Amino acid sequence: MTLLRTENLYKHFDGVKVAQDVNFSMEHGEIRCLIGPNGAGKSTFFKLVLGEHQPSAGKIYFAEREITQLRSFERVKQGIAVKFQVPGIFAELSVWQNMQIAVQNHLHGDSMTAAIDKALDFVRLADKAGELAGELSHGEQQWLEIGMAVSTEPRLLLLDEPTAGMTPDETARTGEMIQALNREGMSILAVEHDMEFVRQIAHKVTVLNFGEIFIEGTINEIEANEEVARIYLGTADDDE
Amino acid sequence: MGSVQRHGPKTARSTSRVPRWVRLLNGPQTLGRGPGFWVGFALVLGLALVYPAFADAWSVGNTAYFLCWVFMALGLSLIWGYMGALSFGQTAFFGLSGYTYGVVTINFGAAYGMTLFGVVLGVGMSCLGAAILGYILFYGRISGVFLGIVTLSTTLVFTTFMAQTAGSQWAIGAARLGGDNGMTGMPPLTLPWVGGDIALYSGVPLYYLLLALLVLCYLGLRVLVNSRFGNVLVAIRENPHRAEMLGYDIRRYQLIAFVIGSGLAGLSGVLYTAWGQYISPSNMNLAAAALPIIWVAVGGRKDLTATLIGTLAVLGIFQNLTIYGSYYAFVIMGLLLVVVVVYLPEGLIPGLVRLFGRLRKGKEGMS
Repeated sequence: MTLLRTENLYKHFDGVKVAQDVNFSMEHGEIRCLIGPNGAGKSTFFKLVLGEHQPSAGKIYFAEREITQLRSFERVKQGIAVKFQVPGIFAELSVWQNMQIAVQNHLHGDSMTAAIDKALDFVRLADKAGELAGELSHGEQQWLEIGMAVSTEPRLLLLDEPTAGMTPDETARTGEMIQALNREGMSILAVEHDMEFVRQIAHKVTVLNFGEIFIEGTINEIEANEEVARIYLGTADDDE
Repeated sequence: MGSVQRHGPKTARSTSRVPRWVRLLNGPQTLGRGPGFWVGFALVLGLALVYPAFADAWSVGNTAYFLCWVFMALGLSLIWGYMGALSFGQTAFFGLSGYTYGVVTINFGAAYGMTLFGVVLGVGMSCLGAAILGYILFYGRISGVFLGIVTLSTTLVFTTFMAQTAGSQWAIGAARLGGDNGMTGMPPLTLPWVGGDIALYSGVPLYYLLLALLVLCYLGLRVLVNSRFGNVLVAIRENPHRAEMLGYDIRRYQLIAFVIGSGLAGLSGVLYTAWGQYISPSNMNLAAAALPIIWVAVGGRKDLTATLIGTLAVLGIFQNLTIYGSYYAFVIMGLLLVVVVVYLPEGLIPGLVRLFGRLRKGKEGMS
């Protein structure tokens, strides 16, 4: 079943085309990675899916329902969650309160407490529930945000550079978390620059360049493509 | 960062069997929890109850005057401290409700509970005004410094308008708006009673009514800020983008909180007008609009108890300054605001709480 689909999606800013005729689609249960050089339109694509930008033209469908005109919070209620590149947490509140705010929208009482406990265990922050979120390490803040996003019980989790600023150990743990979420049925769309990480998690990779889908395929297919290597991976000679 | 830590995992889990209302009164968004705090609260309330027996009539009336203003400060704490929107509009809603009370009671008198109707209509007008202004602000995505500018402009426009209503043509029924001189002649709060109406002039009965209202408002707001609604307000203050991306329509929450907070300013307005039987544009002008900001900032805007204590303390200081050094009162208030903003941005009381917390930790560490 197709979970997310865009149809002839365009976005222009003052004449600058940042998304051009993007026809993207991903299946339920998939882990998809979006890669591309800086300025390729990855973040813009995320913002279009999240409703932070309105497309100049085109349509967006989620679980076969058109969501192009829905506001961001309405898209979240449809089952889309996001983890931002810069950790989007409530820094002056405790880790527990952060999770509570994420969960209280759909759970109450003991079931809410149980869900928070479960999510904190999952992101390995159970022993830091009483600490201020702003005092966690960068990696822990990233995990807290993943925990908050996951607690909304989304069908699609958008991850914008989930391992940015993480140590190799934290990156590996994050990969394990993403794979565990996927095994439970969650679909994941991630923007990521770390090709090692992409190899670890991606079922399929989409390469964006100049706001267009340049190529899609498995990681092996992408890495074998010389044009991709030239525009993004930097393994071919640009002068050729 | 660096704020007072108010929540721990143990408190979150061990309170699941505590009645909901107790949890809401003692929730993480309010300083002061547990038996010690509530014993102190009961003691202070007890002292407030017996205070008129030991004070002269002027002092009781003056304390009632102080209490009138606290509702506006608590409302600002909700809007600014909890939700993160600095509003200069409190005195506009204060004035709107005060004038409404005047118009109703001058035209219809005090009999048959008309003054109570004036209170309800006054607060209702403030809420309506706040709903209109708040809709423009929050659904128009106006935030930060621009929200402050728009609310201040609204207050100043309203003040300027009321100041030019001196002519006899500016009257609603028998109620003349009075321009810069303000509106006078409205009756005090009058309670319909079996043996005859009870007029609450500035004295002991009014003091007790205000005290009861204040306790109700304070406890009600504690419950509100510790509820799911309050959690969302704090989330909006901390990171509105994240709050929206957790599925909250933040504009709706902002609007509701703005209406409640402005309604409390309206309550202050009608109570003040009934207390002094007078309302004028000087109650809403630039200086007046800045005062609630100082009360709330000095005490600690992010906490209701800190706001309550801070407001009463600053009101007392300000009044003494105006009596003994009137010209410098506003200058000293301005300096106080600057000092607090620079050195204790969370406010004096949260700053003291944090200091005592550090000292206690230090002692525990040494032992």
